[in-house]
Amino acid sequence: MNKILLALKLLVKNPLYLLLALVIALLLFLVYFVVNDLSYYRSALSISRGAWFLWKIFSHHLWLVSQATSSANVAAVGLVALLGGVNLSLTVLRVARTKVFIGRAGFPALAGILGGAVGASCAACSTALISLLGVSGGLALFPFKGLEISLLAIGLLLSALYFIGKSLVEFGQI
Amino acid sequence: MAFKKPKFKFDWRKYQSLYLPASILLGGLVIALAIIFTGGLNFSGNSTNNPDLSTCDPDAEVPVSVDNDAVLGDPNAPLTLIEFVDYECPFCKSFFEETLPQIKSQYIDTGKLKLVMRDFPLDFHDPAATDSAIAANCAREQGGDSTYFSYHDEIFTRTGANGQGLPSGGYEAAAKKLGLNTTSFNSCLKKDEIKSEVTADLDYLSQLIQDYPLPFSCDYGSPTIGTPAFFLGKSDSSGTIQARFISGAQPFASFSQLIDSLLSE
Repeated sequence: MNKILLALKLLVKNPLYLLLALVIALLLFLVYFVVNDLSYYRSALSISRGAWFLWKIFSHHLWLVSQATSSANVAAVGLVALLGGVNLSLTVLRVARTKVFIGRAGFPALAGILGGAVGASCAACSTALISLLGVSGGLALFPFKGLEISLLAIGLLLSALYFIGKSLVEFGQI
Repeated sequence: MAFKKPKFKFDWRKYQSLYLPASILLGGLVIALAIIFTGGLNFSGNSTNNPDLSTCDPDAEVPVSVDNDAVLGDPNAPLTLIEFVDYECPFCKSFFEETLPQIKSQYIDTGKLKLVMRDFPLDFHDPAATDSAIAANCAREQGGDSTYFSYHDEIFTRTGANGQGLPSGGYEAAAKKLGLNTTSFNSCLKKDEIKSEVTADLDYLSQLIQDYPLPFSCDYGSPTIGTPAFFLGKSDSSGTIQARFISGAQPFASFSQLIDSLLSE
């Protein structure tokens, strides 16, 4: 836990890396919902591409998902995106400072980031990403409508963060 | 006394450690701008499963029959919106709660649009999804289209969605509330021809996406459709409209933009 906090402190002390983490988190959050419902967004984009209209489409999507699952599901996907951004930004920071590319955080970070995509739900029944993986009905079949996948992804990303913190300590960066 | 201008020298080397994150941010910004200015998210069939770009066109119109299904609004309205509904789909329920009342007050009640409701019960929501579709059709058998839509409202108000269905005795209670003869209603629920009406809609839609895959094949390489699925077009006396596909429980803004543009043509 201490390693995670140290890594987060290092990120906060480096505003550009913090900004990078937030930008990546925002993009991941968008991508998680868009890839789950390309058809919904394609329909919307063919109607209008105005920024205000697209914001309404996206916020409506979040509302739909929170109605169909729960607000906790949307918040969990947000947390996955944030942790994904922090992990990727800290990985860049570590590579920039230590010139070492290989680390133990790679696999859990990647699995966590990909898991976040599966945990997000869509605005139409049966077209979710998880349906394409062979699960007819998608997240509706899970007792917590995908929250369990997001929680697993959060666990993986926290372990990846621990490994990054540990390696930064080992390299004397913290 | 002469003022000596201080010499300012920017030393790039001091900021060397920031090059990498700055480059990534800049790269991300360039990609984002490229997506925005080159036509948005256009994944036009670039799937490896479906390299043929000609099989994807989200704007393609498809001929969709209104069949003999329930109609809400003026039968002579210039525009027709067909909804393929699954009564157990939570997004159909959200559409009913949030968007349909706005469409109804602004376009259906004003005679600009009629809504045709067709059935699309998804197998993973069964048996509740098919049971609800059958019950709504039985309500229609007794009281016509307006009763169908009153019953439609009752189902969405009472269902737990995602296949949970109505509480025990819920279908009969809804029928009783609308003043229907519950004995006839209950016997109707067992009729094969009502069930056939529901499965006919399902078969029709499956065939439609095979025959006209253009708007349904863009995302995953093969024709895919979910609920709620909408088709909007100009009304036609033949009973088949040339319609544009609208995917999912879009907000009112999506429907109003399309409806307004069709009305102004």
